[in-house]
Amino acid sequence: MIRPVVVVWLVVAACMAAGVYLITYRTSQARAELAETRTRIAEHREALRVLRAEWSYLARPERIGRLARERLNMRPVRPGRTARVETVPPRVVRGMEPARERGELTNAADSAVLPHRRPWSLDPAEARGLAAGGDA
Amino acid sequence: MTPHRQPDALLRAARAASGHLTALCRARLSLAGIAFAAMFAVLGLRVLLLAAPGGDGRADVEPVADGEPAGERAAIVDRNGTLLATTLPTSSLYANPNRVRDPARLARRLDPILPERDAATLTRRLEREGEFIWLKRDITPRQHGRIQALGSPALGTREETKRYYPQGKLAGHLVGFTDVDGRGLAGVEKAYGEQLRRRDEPLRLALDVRVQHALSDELRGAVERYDAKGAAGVVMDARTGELVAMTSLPAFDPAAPDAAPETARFNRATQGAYEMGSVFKIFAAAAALESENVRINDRYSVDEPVRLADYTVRDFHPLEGELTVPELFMKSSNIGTVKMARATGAERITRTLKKLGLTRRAPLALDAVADPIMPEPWRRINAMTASYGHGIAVTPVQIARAVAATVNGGVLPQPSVRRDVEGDDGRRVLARPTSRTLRRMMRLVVAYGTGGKAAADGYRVAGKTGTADKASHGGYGGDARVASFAGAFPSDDPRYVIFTLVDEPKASAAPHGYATGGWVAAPVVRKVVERVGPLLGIRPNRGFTVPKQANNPLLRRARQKDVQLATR
Repeated sequence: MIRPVVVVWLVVAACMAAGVYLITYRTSQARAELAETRTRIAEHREALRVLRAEWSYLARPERIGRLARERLNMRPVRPGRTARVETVPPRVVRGMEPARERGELTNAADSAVLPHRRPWSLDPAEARGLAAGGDA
Repeated sequence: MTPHRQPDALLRAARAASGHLTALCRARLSLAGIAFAAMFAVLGLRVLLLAAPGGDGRADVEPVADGEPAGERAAIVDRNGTLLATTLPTSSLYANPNRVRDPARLARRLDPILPERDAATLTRRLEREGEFIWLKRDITPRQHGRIQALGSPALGTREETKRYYPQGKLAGHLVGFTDVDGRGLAGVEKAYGEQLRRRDEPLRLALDVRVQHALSDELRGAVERYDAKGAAGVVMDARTGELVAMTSLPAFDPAAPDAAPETARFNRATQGAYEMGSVFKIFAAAAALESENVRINDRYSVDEPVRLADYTVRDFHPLEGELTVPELFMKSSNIGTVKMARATGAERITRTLKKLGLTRRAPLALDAVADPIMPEPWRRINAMTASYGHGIAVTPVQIARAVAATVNGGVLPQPSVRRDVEGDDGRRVLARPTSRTLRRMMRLVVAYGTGGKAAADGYRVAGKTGTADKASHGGYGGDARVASFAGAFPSDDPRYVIFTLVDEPKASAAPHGYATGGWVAAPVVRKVVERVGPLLGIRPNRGFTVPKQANNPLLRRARQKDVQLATR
């Protein structure tokens, strides 16, 4: 004769077995996932190192200088061609945010300043607007 | 019949006791049962919580951080973080000769893939007995692919790491190089080899790649123009002694150091000891002004050559009259300098040279640093010839450091290759007023004197030219010279010292046949200052004017004395 207590115990044991099986399964799954992620991190790190080296190689001052000279007709900056930001008159052009409005530029006297938006446009209408901007 | 029959007496006693014994056992059993049930309940609950479909399946375990795997040699970067040396993965090709059936055939098939190995050599290597030989370290990904496509069981590749120098020849002497197994053999790679192996983050040097490029570029121009043997240049932070640029030409590529001749691997900036000529007058003048025996307006006659033991000291361009200290400095008179040195005293001059670090090897962490070459024993006459830069040979780094001390207010900085370590503050070696006067005198050289070609646009440059005949076969003579210029800018509060040296410029290639410091080395300094001044964040001073020579305070005082003498 099987007592009800035994039945209860059997059910509990079965549930626990199933639970333990599930956890083990999930753990091994997570472990595989972790290993894969670690491999991917290592791969990305390696790729990053290679890309950084490549970046440095391509951004060699000698190469940038040569390209700027040949393709862009640029020359090294001469001291006479530098100016302080404060001495540049504010540019007032429709549809373009003036660079001076950005707070951090006012106290960065020594750094190169990039306008918020490029001061040129391929759009003929806007380009005309830029040309006439000084008067407007 | 069992062999172990229980005695009747014992059986009886057990029966009598069985009533309360059973009760005791039951109590104990149920106690154990409850305990077990409780424990199982806890376990079961935990299992249910973890495994329940709605549960997150997470246990509260400390996450294990996995950092960057150690063991890779750290990168070297410049002061702005530009990569100078890094470690990259690569593959190397090996072969197992015991598995090669037909070495000649395999060599023929490998030949087009490895263009730098010829088939005959490959055949010979593959014919040897053995389990393992390297065929080529560091093959390209394309070669790797083609070798795999060959499908030979005798070939294999191994993942390795390789040191890579993105800037190429630019800073080869400073950065150095490693062997194929990653051991540092020269430069920073050797000096900081142990640290590079253990560090996680890159090693930051004081070097600025942009300044290094400008300096190398301009020096290369001078070498080509004057058909010189080589050149050296140093840009040093005048206050901290940091080496912002250090060039030696001809340069070599650290990726292939064996391909370069020994002369190219020689670092002229730290290993080349040169007699510097008139550049040393800076230090003689400093010694003179520090002593009580010489006043700035003392006059020395420069009409007649001076005899020093068995040589006669002459001027490069004959001068006449009596010159004050600033005047003889500006015109670079050897005769006047020797007379000034005599008045100063040999001991004082020797002491000043010693204090400025010119008599000892520059304290750099690098391996390849040369000792100065000085006569042994050092006599009075040696101090006299040293006053105009003869009879003592020092390295460009030593000169840059001594000039930094002369112009920065009189504190000798510790030269350093690295950016990320705090050096000590340096020792005071000259009085502040002496340093200020010398700055002005060096400014005179560029404004009105022999260093006019160093006058840059937008920056006041101060400096001193130097031209020295190279000693050869026990004597001086011939066309072999060293042209140099030691400069600092901006002259009122110098931030950087620039020293350039051109080794054996050909007089025939120079304008008017003068392969002197003023014609060869000074223009390099001008161009470098104009290029790097804006980069280093030094605001150019546009439209400054050079006052008329007659109005310069240092020279005017001299003239007033003339007038006073004339009217007396």
